[in-house]
Amino acid sequence: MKKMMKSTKWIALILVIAMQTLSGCAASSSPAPSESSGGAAAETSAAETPASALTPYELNCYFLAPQVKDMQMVQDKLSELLTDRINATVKLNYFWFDSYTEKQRMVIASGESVDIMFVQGFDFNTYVPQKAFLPLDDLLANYGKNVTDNINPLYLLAGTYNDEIYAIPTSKDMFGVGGVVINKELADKYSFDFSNVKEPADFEPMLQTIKENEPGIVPLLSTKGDHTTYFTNNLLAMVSWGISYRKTDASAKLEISAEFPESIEMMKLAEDWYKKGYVNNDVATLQDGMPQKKAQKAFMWAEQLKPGKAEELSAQLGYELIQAYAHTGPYYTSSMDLTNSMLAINRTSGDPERAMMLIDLLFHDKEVKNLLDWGIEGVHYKKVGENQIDYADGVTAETSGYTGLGQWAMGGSQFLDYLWVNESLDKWEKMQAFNDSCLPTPLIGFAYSQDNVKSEAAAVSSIVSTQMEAMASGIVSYDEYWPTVKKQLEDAGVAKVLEDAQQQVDAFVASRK
Amino acid sequence: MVSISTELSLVENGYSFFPSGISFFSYRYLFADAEKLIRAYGITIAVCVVGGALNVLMTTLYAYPISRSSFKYRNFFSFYIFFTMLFSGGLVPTYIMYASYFKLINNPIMLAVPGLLSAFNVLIVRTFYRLNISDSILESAKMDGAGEGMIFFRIVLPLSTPAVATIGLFSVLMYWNDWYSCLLYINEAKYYNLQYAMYQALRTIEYLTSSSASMNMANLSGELLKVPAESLRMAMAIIGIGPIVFAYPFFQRYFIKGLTLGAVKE
Amino acid sequence: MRFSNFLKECKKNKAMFLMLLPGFIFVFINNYIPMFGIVLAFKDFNYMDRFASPWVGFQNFRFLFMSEAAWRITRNTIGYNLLFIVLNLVIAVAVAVALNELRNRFFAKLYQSVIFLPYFLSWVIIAYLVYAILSPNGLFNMSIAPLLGVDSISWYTNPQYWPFILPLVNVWKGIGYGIVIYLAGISGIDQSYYEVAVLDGASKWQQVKSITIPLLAPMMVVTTILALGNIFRSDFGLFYQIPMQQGLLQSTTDVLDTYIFNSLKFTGDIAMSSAAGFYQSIVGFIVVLSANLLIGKISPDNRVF
Repeated sequence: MKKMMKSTKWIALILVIAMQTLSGCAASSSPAPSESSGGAAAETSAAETPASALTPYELNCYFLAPQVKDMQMVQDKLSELLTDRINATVKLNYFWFDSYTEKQRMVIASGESVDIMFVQGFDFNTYVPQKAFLPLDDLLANYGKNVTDNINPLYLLAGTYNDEIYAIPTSKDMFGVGGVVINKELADKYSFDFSNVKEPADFEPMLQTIKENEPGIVPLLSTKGDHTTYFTNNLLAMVSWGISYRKTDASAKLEISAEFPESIEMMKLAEDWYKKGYVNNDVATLQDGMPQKKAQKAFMWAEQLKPGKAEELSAQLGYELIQAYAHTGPYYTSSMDLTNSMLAINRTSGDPERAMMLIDLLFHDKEVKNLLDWGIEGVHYKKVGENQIDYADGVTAETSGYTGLGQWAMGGSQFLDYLWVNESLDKWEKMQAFNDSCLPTPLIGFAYSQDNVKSEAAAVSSIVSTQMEAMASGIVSYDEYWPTVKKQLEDAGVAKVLEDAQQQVDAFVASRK
Repeated sequence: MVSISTELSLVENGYSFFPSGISFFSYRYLFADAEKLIRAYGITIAVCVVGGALNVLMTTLYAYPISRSSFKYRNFFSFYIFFTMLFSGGLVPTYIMYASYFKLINNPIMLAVPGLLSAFNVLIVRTFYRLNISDSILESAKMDGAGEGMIFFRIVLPLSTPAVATIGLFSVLMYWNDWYSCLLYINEAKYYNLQYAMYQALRTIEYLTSSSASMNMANLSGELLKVPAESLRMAMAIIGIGPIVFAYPFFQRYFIKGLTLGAVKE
Repeated sequence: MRFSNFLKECKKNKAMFLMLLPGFIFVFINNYIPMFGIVLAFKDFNYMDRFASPWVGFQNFRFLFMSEAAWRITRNTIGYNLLFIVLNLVIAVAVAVALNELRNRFFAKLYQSVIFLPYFLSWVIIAYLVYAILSPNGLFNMSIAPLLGVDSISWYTNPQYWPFILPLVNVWKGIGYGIVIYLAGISGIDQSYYEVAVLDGASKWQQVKSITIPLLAPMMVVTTILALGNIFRSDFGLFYQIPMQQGLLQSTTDVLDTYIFNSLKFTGDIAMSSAAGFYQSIVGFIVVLSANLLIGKISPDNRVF
């Protein structure tokens, strides 16, 4: 009987919880964006506010980073630094590629109080219209002076939705160029000259030579037709799955990606190359080309390039490589390039002002930024020059408790990062020059919201994500295959998506004038 | 066998079921952080044992009343459990409940809790009871003055060892193979179970060897990058299933038992 | 009135209710409370209002019924599931009976372990094994085809092979599971039935036909009805991993779960995925209710509820 009593209590408790699930969530999920806790600092810049004037606060941060052994140690050290600077401590949450997307969705949906969160690309387009993040303009004006001073304005534009900034991108390389990486030994053997390559078709004579003279070597190694994708990306930029505009087109006329003459030409080239045996015969199913690359079984393969890419890959693969862009310039940077690493402040943040102060620090405080990137000096790395580091004594890549992070994902300005002994000291100057060489596409600052055509966009996405690879790989004939895919897309309502997107684009372009 | 091939021979010979060129690098890589691996094994085994035992207990207890034709509300309670097999609120509401209301995030008991009772197992055991535990046995036990609890533990359970072994096996297997609750509910590497620890190691290697990682390769050593992703995958399959294959005969004993009885009389 | 009856029953069968209690409470918390989340299927979800987001009726279900894909995925999903149900039932029962008849215990155990082994492998691993055989440079095209003197076959671009490959792989991986259930069922059968049959001079086949199979029938009915409840769901790993996500194979490999995944993978729309799940549940529910009703007419004892 006693047990029964206990269980009735249980049931009562459960019913209460159930009721809360039904009714209470709305109330508990929308804490008013705090104006109270950070009130002391209102209107003045963070830099001028003495840390002691702020109430202590713990910033809950989510980063795209691996679960490293010494995260706790870095968290403690960072809290120490931040207490000194903005009277805050941090709780770091690291999730890597295996779980970040899932965790992010769950954490946002659960209404947990989060202050800073890594977000990228299309996730931004999903979460911002669904009100997951706070608009940052005022916070940026009041507490983010160092951000605005140290970032290319295009970046801030890219983090914009409906004229309000919702995320602060990481300042790093602003674009990439689709091209190929080539086995230097083979290129030298046949004295190929890549300086004359103006478009992808110019690779063909070389592929032919390799095919004829080097049995056992794949002339162009491609995984699921990635060469077509990389090359086409030089010319077109995507606004939604399957819908693009020409990067040079100021009025940004949208069309189905696969119907631009540029992309038709590329897919037909892929088809031709596949037929001639220039591309690996398992191109449609190959998921990971790394083994072939390591075994030097490939003459060339496509990559997203920037200066020095071939050297990085050489170091990784253990033989000499050179690189060649698939198109001649000018090169463009698009929203996709600029938004692949950003930090947002969640609507549930208990102190958005303080969160912005931390983001601000990541743009000018070398100590804070490098602590987050490389760990603790003397424990994980040691300084060998003013801006140069190496592993601390007795530590290697395998034994280090804070290694393998993607520094590009840690927010702030990558130009503050220390360089490693094997990197050239002018890396950041070079990157700056590279960044200066690009032009903006017309739609930076535009994020397409699918809200009006969700169902159509979902159905289109299902077709695009399954049907394009066969054509990009070249295993089917574009002329025969595309009409069937097009029919599917039309059935799925691609015209409606196109129209809706064009409307939003036109409004955006008009507002920019 | 792919797990002990060197990557080069993988490329040259394609996938082969027989090793050509032996390398144990994948295993060395996975065992390099032995402490972590042993810990993950420990967590998985603990979850299997505790979760499996609770699962069996709750399943057999629940299945008993709904198997008795004398129990008036058997259909209601059967439907009550069966309904959960069809309808679910989805991941997000479940996550919110455990995370926001029960505050069980990053608590290792969440590796066991979501799988404690499965409608499928309950209904299998119920059918087994119905078939193999005749009312006459129970009636005679009642005549002798045994209470329901006594009957259950002294008669029903011993008579249904094959069913108990079956659902025991199923629930242990489920816990053994589960990595998704770990992904959802666990935040710290120290509570990772075996499958998730390996899943994560694999995804990390895939990432490190993919081109998107090369933005900042300077701090990575060459050794790590030589791990062949394919053979790593296979090595993980071996490490992952090895122990449970050894545990399998333990369960098998119970459902092959009837077979020996049958074999005696011929 | 009914409630007081219930209370009376509670008092009478206290022990029975106590046995139900742990499971009842657990299921209530773990399954029924989150079920309120189904409301999301009818809402225009946003992260600020969450469960209080505005209602949108059946908007979120629309993408499931658009275009010709709807017909294809429905046909494939139901077709494969029916095929799997039949194959798994027939093969599992046959193998379980055969194993049980094996006089040599060692081999019985060995066979059973070997049959069960694939169940431990994840779909990703199995996909690689299948790929090792069927890829353009795989075992079939490099070794078997030349041996048999046939042309090499491009398995991953021709949809007509997959209605055979997928059931084969599915049975290979999952059959051990069913066998275990039926073995347990057989070993629970009262041995005296067989003793009487042997005395009557019944042959092995007659024993199987008139004792084993009829006594296993309720188990078969239950597993079949439970499987029918999932008629609108598919094993995602089987349909996603094994055909290597090849669009060319879509006409015979695309099922509801892969369609939902591909539609929502970029946006992760919570409301739409909730709608998809609800749709699958409703169809399964209707099918099970009908099946249960039908069984109730034929043999009332075998009803699930």
